[in-house]
Formats: sequence, C-alpha cells, structure tokens
Amino acid sequence: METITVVIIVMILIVIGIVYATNQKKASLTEERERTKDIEAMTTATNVLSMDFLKCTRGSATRETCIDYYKIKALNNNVFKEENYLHFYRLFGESKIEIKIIKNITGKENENITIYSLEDTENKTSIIIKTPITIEDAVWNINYFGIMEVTAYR
Amino acid sequence: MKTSKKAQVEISFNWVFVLIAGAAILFIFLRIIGTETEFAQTATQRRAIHDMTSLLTVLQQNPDSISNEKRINYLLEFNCNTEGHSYGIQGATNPARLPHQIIFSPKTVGEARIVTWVKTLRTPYPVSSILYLTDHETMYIFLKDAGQTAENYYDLFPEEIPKTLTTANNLNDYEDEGHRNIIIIKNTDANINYNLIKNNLDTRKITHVVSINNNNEVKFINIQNTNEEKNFGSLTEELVIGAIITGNPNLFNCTLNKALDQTRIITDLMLERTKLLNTAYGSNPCNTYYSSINQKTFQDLSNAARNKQPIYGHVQDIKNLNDRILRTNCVPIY
Repeated sequence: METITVVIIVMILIVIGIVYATNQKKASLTEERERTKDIEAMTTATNVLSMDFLKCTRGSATRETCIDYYKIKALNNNVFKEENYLHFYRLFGESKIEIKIIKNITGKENENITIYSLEDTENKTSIIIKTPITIEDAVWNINYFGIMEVTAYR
Repeated sequence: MKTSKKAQVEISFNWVFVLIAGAAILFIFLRIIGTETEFAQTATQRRAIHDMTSLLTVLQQNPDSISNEKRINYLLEFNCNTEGHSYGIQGATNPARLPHQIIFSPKTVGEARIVTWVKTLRTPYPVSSILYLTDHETMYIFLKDAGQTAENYYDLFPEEIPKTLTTANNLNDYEDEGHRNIIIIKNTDANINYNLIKNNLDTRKITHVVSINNNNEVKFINIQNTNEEKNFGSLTEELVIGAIITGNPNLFNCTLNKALDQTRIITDLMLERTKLLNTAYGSNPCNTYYSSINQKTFQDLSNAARNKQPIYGHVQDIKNLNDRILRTNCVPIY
C-alpha cells in the first residue's frame, strides 16, 4: 500500500511539473510572438523610408531624406492598380503612409498626399512614426519641408 | 497453502503494477522528449527567421555594403516551388516566405560565417535593394577567358567571399578544400571538360556551371547532363552577379521574376512621372524630352520586364536619354 502511495505521489508531482513547464514555454512563445509583431510594424516603417525609387536623384547620385514630388504623385496614381496592389500590400501591409508638404507657413496651401492606405483598426493597436523629409519639385526648383507619417497597425 | 497462494497473487499484482507504472512513466518521459525536440526546432526556426528579418532591415539601410557576419550554427535551406521563394532550417515544416525580397543565395547557407553583400538594382534608376547571401562554405571558381568576362566578375566579387581565378586546364588540379558548395563560372565560349570535373570534384557539391557571354546572357549547364541548359536573356550586372551567387537555375529564376516584377512596377511609376513632367512643363521647350516618343522607352522596358524578356537594351536606351537631358537645364527622367 505504501509503495502504491509513493508511486502515485511521484506521478502527481511529475504531472504538475510537466504542466508548469509547458505553461512557462507557452508564455515565453507568446511574448516572443508579440515582439515579432512589433518588429513587423517597424519593418513596414523602414520599408517606406528606404524606398530608393522615391528619392531625389540626379543621374546615379541619390539624395538621402529627399523625396521627389513627381514620384510621390506617380506612386499615388499607381499604388492601387490591380497588377501592383499585391506588391505594395506585401511591402507595407496594413498601414497608412501620408506625406504632409508644408508649402506655406499659414498652412493654407499645404498639401497632404496619402500614398498608401490600408487601414484595419479593429482590435488593433498602431505605431506612428514621423520623419522629417525634404520634398523637391524639380520643375520649379523648389524644396519643400515635409513630414512623412507612417501608421503601422498590428 | 492458503498463505502461499495469497502471496503469489500479491507478487503478480506487484509486477503488473510495476509494469503499468513503468510504462506510464516511460510514456511521460517520451512525451517530454518529443515536446522538447519540437520546441527546440520551433525555437531555432524562429531564431533563424528573426536573425534574417533583422539582417534584412539593417541591410536596407546600408546600400552597397559588404559584411562578414557572425557564424550561424544552423543550416538554412532556400527553396523555390509552387508556393514561391522560401527559407527555413533544414527539415522545418513551416518555412518563412520571401514574397518580395530580392535575395540571391545558394541553396544552403550556414554552419559557417555568412557573408552579406548589398547592392541596388538599377534599371538604370534604383528599383530595390538586392541582398547577396552566401557563406565561407561556398567557393566560387572563375575561369579565365580571352574576353575576360568571368575575370571581370571575379574582380567585382568582394574579398570576403571565397573565390579563386584559374584556367579551364588548371581546373583539373583544383584541390577541394572541403567546401560544401562549389560554383564554377565561365565565359560561354570557353570550353571545359565536364567529365574531368565530374571525376575530380564531388558532384554533390557542384550541380551547375554558370556560363556568361559578353551580352550578359546567362546559361546554367547541368553537370550531370550537359545538354540540359537553362538560359536567361541579356541581364543587368546586378542580376548576373545574382546568377553567380545562387549557382542554381531554379532559385535564380525565382528571385529574377521578383526583380523583373519590381522593375515593371517602378518603370510604370517612372512613366507616370514623365507624363506628370510633361504636363508640368506645359509649352516649355523641355517638354520634348517627356513626349510620347520618349515615354515609349519606359513602355518598352515595362513590357520586356512583364514578359520576362531581355531588359539590358531598354535599360541602356533610358540611360542614354537621361544622359542627353543631364546636359540641359531640364529635369532628368530619373
């Protein structure tokens, strides 16, 4: 009888140990998954900021933190075309990318261009990243100050 | 007699109990081992994906950079099948997808120091960052030729990547230093004896020879069956380097298709920009540079990229037009 009791107690302890270890593992995996989602949101923002094709260029020279006004307008016209949509969705996911061009200190002639918007705010938190940029209108040879606002949902 | 029978029953019961309890404990421990193995594999896979994602994010911010990364202790396998381009640790059931990333790598990378090389894909304007990913276990053997095609690419390859320059005749004397992969690069016109390669080198390490001609046309020749060739028409320099890095027609085709798709998208964007410049300039003489005739050069490149046709000639046309505009005060087309 004593032997049976000892074995049962040992087995109960083993089962409790297994349940505890499993829960700990699950908790650490959930935490890691959350961290991965944060990284994904940051990646979206980085993808936007590193879009070489939007940058101001002169031949092969590229100007960092300068965006070409006509390229933004062209992207705005092309991004939701059926054959391009999947590419930009893979690149930007569920996010909103807006460029605020400050043309006048009074704010009357300022221009907002939303180059991409796929918002799904339901039960989702968002990370907003604002970056100051220069927007060049090469035809009129004017450089505007602007803000690129990337809202990434996760 | 009665006591002896009771004792016999008790002994049997003890044995049955010991067997059941032993089996239960054994089962529990086997489950633990199974779960732990599964967790370990998932954790390694997650770590590999995490490392790669971090690497990609950092590299995007460092165009035209080369770096010797730390040694990774797992082997990454890159695949291209009906579900697309993917990678994961060998044997993993849930590989990570690479839907738009332009990564050229051999089929297996890892269990060694990895080397990353970032360049910008230009057609001739920047389209996307390209990541060339290889390791110290992959050797690139460039064969000298009269036209210096392979030699030029040897010079372009950074010192961080294991490489050697030899002649087709000396290839027979090449001593295998124990690399996992060997990739041979030659000019299309250079003749090599495939039977000697098969006899001298381990054919598990080398599957294809990458052949390049002066027009940047690439051909993958299967070592086992030299009649089996896979051709890729006139490419830009960055894409030819991609073909050399992979040494594998299937993987190269996968990434090339993504690169051409992105070229088409960005070219359409440049075409749209040219139309906007045309409108913005109105009656200004600069307008001639953005006319429908010049818009056609973008359209031609876009069509070639869409139909997976040679792009090099169209890229040169756009570059020449832009060079002409750069000599004026008008806004360049890229």
